[in-house]
Amino acid sequence: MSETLPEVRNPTGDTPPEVRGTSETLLEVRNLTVKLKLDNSQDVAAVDGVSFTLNRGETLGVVGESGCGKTLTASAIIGLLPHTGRVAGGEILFEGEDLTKKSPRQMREIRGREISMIFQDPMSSLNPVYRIETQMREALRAHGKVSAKEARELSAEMLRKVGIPLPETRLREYPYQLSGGQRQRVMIAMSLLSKPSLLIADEPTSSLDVTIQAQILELLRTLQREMNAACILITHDMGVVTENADKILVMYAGRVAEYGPAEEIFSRPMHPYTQRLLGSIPRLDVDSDYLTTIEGAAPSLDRMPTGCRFYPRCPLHSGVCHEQEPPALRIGEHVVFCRRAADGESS
Amino acid sequence: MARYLYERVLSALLTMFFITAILYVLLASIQGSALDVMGGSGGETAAEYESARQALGLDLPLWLRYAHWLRDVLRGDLGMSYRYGIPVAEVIGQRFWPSVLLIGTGVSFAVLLGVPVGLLAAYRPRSVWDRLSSFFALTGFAVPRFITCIAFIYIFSFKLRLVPATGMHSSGVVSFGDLVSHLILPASTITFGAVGYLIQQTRSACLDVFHEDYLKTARAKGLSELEVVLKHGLRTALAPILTQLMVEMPEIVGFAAIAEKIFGWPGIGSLMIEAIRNRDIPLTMGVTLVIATLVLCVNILLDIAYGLLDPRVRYR
Repeated sequence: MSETLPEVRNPTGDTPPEVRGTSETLLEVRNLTVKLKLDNSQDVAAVDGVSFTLNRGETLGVVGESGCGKTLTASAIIGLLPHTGRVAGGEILFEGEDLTKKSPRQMREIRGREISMIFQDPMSSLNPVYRIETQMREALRAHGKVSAKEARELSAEMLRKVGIPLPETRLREYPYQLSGGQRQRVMIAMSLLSKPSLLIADEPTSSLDVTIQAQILELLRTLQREMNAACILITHDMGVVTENADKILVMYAGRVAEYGPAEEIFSRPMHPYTQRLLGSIPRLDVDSDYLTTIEGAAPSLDRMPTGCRFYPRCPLHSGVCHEQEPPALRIGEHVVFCRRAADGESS
Repeated sequence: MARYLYERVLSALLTMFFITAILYVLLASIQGSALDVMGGSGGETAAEYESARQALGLDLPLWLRYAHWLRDVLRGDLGMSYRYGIPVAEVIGQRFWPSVLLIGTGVSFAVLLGVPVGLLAAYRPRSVWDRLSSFFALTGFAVPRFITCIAFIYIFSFKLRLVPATGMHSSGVVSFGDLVSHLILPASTITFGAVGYLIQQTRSACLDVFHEDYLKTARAKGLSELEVVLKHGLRTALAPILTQLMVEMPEIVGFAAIAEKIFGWPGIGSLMIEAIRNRDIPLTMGVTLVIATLVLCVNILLDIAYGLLDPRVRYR
């Protein structure tokens, strides 16, 4: 969709700000489309034409309301789509190779070794019936022979790195003996055991206390830098990505709304949806009794509006918005899919 | 663990006391005594009848008779069978192992069949396989069990002539193959009766587990699908499946008695039915005691297994 539209040239003539990190591309997602089979056998594109690139060691924040396709995008990358879903188009180039063309067996080799993933709820993402040691050893053994002793040492070392006191004791324990924050630390340790080059964190802090949230985010940041791992940080909360992300991908109803370097998105959000997402972060420096909310709800999969999918909730929408797909406006690395933003830039 | 066992055994003993007391009263209040049922030559005088009553202790008040029975049991004596005139323990001894063999085989096959079928159904819910297995499970517990027995006899023994319909041995033959051929029908009716609940329970337990995030974690680690489903899925679902088996156990034992009767299997179930019919109170009480002890022991064992399967339960 975006490929066919002419690129709008940067009218202001600013040089695009440099994106942090090395310029070596690790992951390039091109026009990814994921189709889901609904209960009524309808086949819908729950992720529609999503593109982004991620360099080594970089963090991409993927932001949007629940149900906008963030998790599906991530699941497609790691090859763990639900069995009702399939990649219907596009490419996922990881280290230059298209993951959509890999066999399940090849994907299994990559999962846990090259690409790791951690999930939202640390209370349920560890198996309650196995000791921490067993679960961590499993992660190591999935990708090569490791003796029990070696596995224990590596696991203990990794637990120490994620800030768990008395790691040897913890290894002997079961998940229910650990707090939520500790469990998420264990999950992070487990996902980093094989030194992956990409870590996907799906709402890693959403179910934690606010104080723990900040600690976990900082931990992710530190370890990522130390191990030079790239990270896809999925969240519905713009506040979470302010510190961690180098780039931001804002998704709405399965499509990209806006994508670009984090500083630009924060300083100059161009999509009305991004603007409202930013407006809903509580701020200390602005004296306000209210938080901005976004009226209405995201459309359901089987009832997508035509044209721009955001127009029913958009305060700026005009008649054209629901007749035509929004054009892509590109300013350097910053892309926004909004007719009004494009109009505003060209006028 | 020791404290837990102590509590369990104590409560089991209390349960046994109530079971036996209630049963004793019930048995004593059935119309007709052992003397009436067994009958004599018909020419007994009232005095002879009375002395026979006294010999069996039937003239004593009910509570005293129960107290005597309980006292003897605590001393390890189950009494003499009215009907057979030999110690109850001896009668039961002859009929005990055939029952264990029958129930053990029936339940083992129910588990071996029900767990994989339920697991596959949960793996792909609403698939053809899931619907088929649901249908099979529903049939399993909707069809009255004595009808299953009769249908099995009709189809496999009478029509197809594959296996013998009754008994444990063909007369004069003592071979393993002969025993197995006699075992197949009664054991499969027990399997058929028990497997339905087991399929449903396995399916729902696995369905719960399959939605858990730790399965996603296991996949994200790069484990194979088989490892994910067995080591993380089924392994975690085992505890609720075991619970189902515990709940079913008394019912299975009860049904086994009917199956034994229908198939002429010389187990304690059919023995109990005969004993009740003969108003043989010591024998009935003895059989009940053995069955109740067995069910309670199996439950305690399964309980311990539950603790081993799920560490969260162990420390509570």
